Amino acid sequence: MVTIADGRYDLPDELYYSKNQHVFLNLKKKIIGLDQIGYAFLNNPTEISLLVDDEIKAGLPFVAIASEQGVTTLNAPCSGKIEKFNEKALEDMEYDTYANGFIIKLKEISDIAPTLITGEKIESWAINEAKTLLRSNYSFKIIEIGDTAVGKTAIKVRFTDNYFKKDLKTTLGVDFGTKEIKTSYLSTDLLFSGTYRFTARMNVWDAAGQDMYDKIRGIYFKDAKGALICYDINNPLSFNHLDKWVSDLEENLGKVPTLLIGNKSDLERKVSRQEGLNYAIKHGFLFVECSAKTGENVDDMFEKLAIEIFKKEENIE
Amino acid sequence: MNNMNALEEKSNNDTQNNHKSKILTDEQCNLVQKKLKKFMLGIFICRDGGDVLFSYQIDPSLKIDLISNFIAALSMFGEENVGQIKRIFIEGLDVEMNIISKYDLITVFFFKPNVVKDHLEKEAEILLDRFYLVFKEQIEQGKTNLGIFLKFEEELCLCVLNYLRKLGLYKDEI
Repeated sequence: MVTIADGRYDLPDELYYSKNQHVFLNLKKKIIGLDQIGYAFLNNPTEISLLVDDEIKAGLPFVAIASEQGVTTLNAPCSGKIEKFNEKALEDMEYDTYANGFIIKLKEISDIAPTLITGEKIESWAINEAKTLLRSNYSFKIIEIGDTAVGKTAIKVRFTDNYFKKDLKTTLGVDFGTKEIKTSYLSTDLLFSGTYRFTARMNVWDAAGQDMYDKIRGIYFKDAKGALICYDINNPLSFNHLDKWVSDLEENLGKVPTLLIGNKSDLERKVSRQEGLNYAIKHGFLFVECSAKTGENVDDMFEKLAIEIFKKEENIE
Repeated sequence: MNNMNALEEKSNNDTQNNHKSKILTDEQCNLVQKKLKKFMLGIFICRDGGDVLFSYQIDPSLKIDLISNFIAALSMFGEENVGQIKRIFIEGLDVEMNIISKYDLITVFFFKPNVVKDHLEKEAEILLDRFYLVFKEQIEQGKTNLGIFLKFEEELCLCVLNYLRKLGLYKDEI
């Protein structure tokens, strides 16, 4: 038995697997079905239909499966005559794709598709497939906006390079930084309950805050998956201008996972934490106060944002 | 029973041959990798918003994510102010870049300086066409799971092999 993804998927190593389709073949019992990773790939299958009458041919479509993602056809891993088709396969498949939820039992097998793998070959293939399935490696573009001098570039530099540079020059147009983070998310989703571990390449686009860039700033929002809206807790004016930035964001990106950041928590406070929190709640944003100078909360807030984007990307909860 | 053993043996043999590309032979794969290392530093395909979807990096010192963001920003700025950038060629650095923009995607080839680039622009476009054809749905859905795009490596090898054929550096056995 090959067990992968923290025990989430088991693949009996005496079976044969179609590398591209996740169809398994049990040669001894003459059963064809969907392996556990294949079932997970389908994302809530709702209907299985047999596409042939009484015979399947290796490499040709034999079953159609409808799911939330649309309709997928599976190619037969072998040729042979059908003895039995389990029409209620889906009811049992969630619990056991190898015995109870089989799709087809064959009378005889006459030919095997050349792409099948078995035995020790399964593990590396299955790990790779599970990685894809488990959505392990992402690239998220994040747009960072807010009034000039609230510390946007300092936040970006603290996050990507982990240092604080005093007297940073005003950003011209846009600046970039990138960093890969590894994080995890505990899901209670029925099909994928457990911990998702994923890596996210956070590409932070730090947009200039000055009014003179108002007309061109919007172009840099393209394809951003999340946003940081920053203000300075020492500067009430920057807090009062948040509506402008929220409007800018919604106009260019619509609703995306957004983190409201009160920066400079190392300085004297002139905007209360409650005010910031209320604003975030009102707009459905995450909220964090941080200090680019000391590094307080900077890594944590990017991780929070990455998880929110991940959840949106994969329609989780 | 004998029939079953024969089937299992056939499947085992097929399985052993299956770890390599289904389309390319081992010899072809090795040749492509060797040639790529000789002439190139890397290739990537990104959205025109800057997120890299697929990359094949030979020189580990290339900061592909930063470069993709920079090129994307340049492309966006160009599109807004002076017209859409379809092709950029940068010469005179330790690395030469050939950049092609199409289908809301950007592909960038990094070369060692002074490499002959006959037919290259056409091949780069073919590669981008192929990428779009294979992943059209995922690209349009804005997917960012890079695992989805990993399988393009084989298509890349095929494109490179075709390029080598055109340059006369590879001849198919008859």
